[in-house]
Amino acid sequence: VVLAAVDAKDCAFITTQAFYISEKYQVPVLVLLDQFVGQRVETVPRRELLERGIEEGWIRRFDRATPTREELAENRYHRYKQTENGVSPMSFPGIEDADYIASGIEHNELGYPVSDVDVHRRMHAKRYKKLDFIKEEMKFMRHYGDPQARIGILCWGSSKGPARQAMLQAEAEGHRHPHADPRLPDAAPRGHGAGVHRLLREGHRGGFQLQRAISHLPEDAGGPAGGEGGGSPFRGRHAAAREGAEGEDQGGAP
Amino acid sequence: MSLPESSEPRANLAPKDYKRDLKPVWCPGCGDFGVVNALYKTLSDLGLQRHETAVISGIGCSSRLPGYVAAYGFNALHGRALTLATGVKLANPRTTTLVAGGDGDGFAIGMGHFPHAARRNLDMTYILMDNRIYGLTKGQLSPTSEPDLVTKTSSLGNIERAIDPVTLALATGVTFIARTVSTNIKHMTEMFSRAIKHSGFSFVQVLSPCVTFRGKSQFKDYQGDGVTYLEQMGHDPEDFHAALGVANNGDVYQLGVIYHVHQESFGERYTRLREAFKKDKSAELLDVVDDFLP
Repeated sequence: VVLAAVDAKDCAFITTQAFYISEKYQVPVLVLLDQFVGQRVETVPRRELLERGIEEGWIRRFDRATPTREELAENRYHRYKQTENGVSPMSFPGIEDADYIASGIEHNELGYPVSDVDVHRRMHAKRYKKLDFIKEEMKFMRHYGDPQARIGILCWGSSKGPARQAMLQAEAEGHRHPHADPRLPDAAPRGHGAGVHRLLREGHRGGFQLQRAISHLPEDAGGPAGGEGGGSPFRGRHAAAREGAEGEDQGGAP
Repeated sequence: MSLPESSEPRANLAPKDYKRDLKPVWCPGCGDFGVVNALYKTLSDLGLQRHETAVISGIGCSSRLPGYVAAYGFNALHGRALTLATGVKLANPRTTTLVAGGDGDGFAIGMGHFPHAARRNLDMTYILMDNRIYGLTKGQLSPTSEPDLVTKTSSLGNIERAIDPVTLALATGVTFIARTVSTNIKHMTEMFSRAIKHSGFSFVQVLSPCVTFRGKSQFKDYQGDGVTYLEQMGHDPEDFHAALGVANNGDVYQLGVIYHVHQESFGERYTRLREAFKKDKSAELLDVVDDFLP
């Protein structure tokens, strides 16, 4: 799981979420910051952070799943047992009759190292199905603008600012130009973007790429790629310019 | 997070009760069999319960050891056993925390962690199973391989000098240092017991031959005239300079407690600082810390 903060204030929410996801789903979570976020200073009232966090569900409480007394008494506790959401109850040193081996390689439900192909597949599937539950619970997408617009911008991290700026510029010029801001690349839930035919997505090499970025978007949501490398921050005019390049392969910087 | 209520006090376990039903995959004749058997006996002698004990390792032949001990066991990333063990001990200071690993894991990729474990003086025991070769990867030179050693990847002989783990332990301030040999279960058990009972970071170098990639000669080196016992030589383990003298003494391995002093452990320092903090400031912050203790 990779989360990207959009600004300094967002770091508080992202980090809280990261701990929550990591603890609840027993997965590593990376928090991505770029230089814009990392070196930016904002003053945010603590009350706003807490209240907003609770209201919007960023701050949540849960109790870690631990083995039940019955499981332990009947010697049925398996540290890595198959469960509906892939998360198995976790014991820790100090809990009686619940010791286990956390091996560094593929293992069975007890934690014993195995090289059996079927076990490998089952355990692999067990880990990856957690992602579906995480996506469903966390609702990573943030939406702005007109949901019926023909072109969407998909970006992450601090690119949110330029993307919103581009959206506002486009709206001022009479275009219908929505913006979606996910925290997790590949986080878009099924059904998202049904009305979007062209998707302007932030590229790996810098700049924006106009393309069909997500498999469940309409088939004609592809398009030409272009970008500006060199680590320069994005600006609203880049996104706006790419919209103008719809259907053309310009290749270079907009 | 809190621990479930404990059951009635439990009887001491026998050595066999610490055996996990997982068959070791070490080569026949490997010295590590002796180490794990001595560890079973040590845990039994000390009356440690399985749920109160954690065995941490990195990667390598010897790092498979936690899988064969019925206690909480963790295979960390290569070379990171000491860091993970530090977390285990800090999270639940009541856990008897043991680290087991080889010379490659501990003194090549994991070397950077050793001095910091030493200076923290956390109450845990590091058992180095030293075969002076990379066994799991089929016999390459390790940091403790002696000069001129010929292996498949050093056909002209080892061009580098070896690290001496005991000298390194002395230089970095380890407060309990012992050396033992995997062919002597009784001596190993005594060294492990004393190391675990030591308050602070303890280090035990076990000479554990690799019969597959070092041949039978290494096995012979650790027996007979190849070893002497410090207990029979009037060695004073509180004498730092005497300890340096026996650390790396040529062809004869001197076995026993090489160095043993008491210095305030991490846990003792924490308790002292905590008490001082309580006198001056609100205890609320300390309550927050306690919330995370099991």
